Amino acid sequence: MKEILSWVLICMSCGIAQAEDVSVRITEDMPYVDVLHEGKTVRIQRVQDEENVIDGGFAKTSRKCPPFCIHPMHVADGVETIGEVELLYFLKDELQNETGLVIDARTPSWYQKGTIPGSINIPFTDFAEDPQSVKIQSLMEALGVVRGSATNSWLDKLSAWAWSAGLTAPDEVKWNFSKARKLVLWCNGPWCDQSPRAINSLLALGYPPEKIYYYRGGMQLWQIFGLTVVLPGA
Amino acid sequence: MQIGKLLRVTTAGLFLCAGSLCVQAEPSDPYLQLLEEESQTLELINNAERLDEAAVANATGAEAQNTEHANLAEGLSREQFEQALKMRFVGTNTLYEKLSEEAKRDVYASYQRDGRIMEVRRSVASHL
Repeated sequence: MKEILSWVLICMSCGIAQAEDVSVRITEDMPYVDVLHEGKTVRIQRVQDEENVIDGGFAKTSRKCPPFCIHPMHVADGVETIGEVELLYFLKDELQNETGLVIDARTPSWYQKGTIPGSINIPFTDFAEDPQSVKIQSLMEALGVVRGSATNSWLDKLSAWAWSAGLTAPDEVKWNFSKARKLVLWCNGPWCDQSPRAINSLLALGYPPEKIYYYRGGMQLWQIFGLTVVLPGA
Repeated sequence: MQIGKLLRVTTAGLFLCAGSLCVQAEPSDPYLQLLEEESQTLELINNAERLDEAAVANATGAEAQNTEHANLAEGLSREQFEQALKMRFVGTNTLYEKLSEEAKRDVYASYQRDGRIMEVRRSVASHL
């Protein structure tokens, strides 16, 4: 009976609270953002408890440098650095329209401890694989990149087929980025080198810099603002 | 001829994948090693929610989404405790106000033992 009452109480609390405004908003006109994460709609908003402070790993101020050095705002030529609000708009627009992807470029041991809703985990090490490897081929396909040049002529198609059939040398492979998705890459924050490494590997593969965005704040700043974090695959 | 080449490409691919798995299992890159060590110092992010309990937009309200793991500040007087409930946990407060004076005292005592809002809610519910 008490269990049932607890449930009723909790549900009633939800209903009443739902009618209220969110007092700790993201921006004046953005109380929260709903995103799809692993097939479920997750609401990103800030912790409403104004007494809340961060603790644990992301409260640390100092780590050995190198390798955990402070990164400049500019990560690479042509790649735009963005903040939380721009990332949230990206999640709301580009992710929802399937024209963009948000990539948590950290190794799995970091990702498993919590990620930004809407992100997929592609560790930076994956981008550094041999460009001719099967892994890179499937990775590029997932990013909307296809084999062949931008002109996509019958010759390009033939060339792509010839490569896939093992008839041509790998160095003849060209990528067509015309339908490549826009990407936001992030990692642990300004002290983290994982997403900058992933970005540089993508650029080396020919990914257009104007389609890449660097969320430098990463999990560190996401935590500072008390934004929603989810545990993946739970 | 083509099948033979395809097989060679596929086999090479499999070796590459297997190779990359080995790298992940035992990082030879010093940076990867330091990363792994650093990640061990981090427990689960304190406000991380499991996906099935997370702030699923159409299932829960603002209070539940944000304060499920929240604590009321420690050492509040009865008056401050009631004020905090009123300001931050409107739903819980609505039911709390319907309790008898004795039940309210019990709820306050349970808050002094455990300041988590979930415990306060349970205590309120047990007195209804």
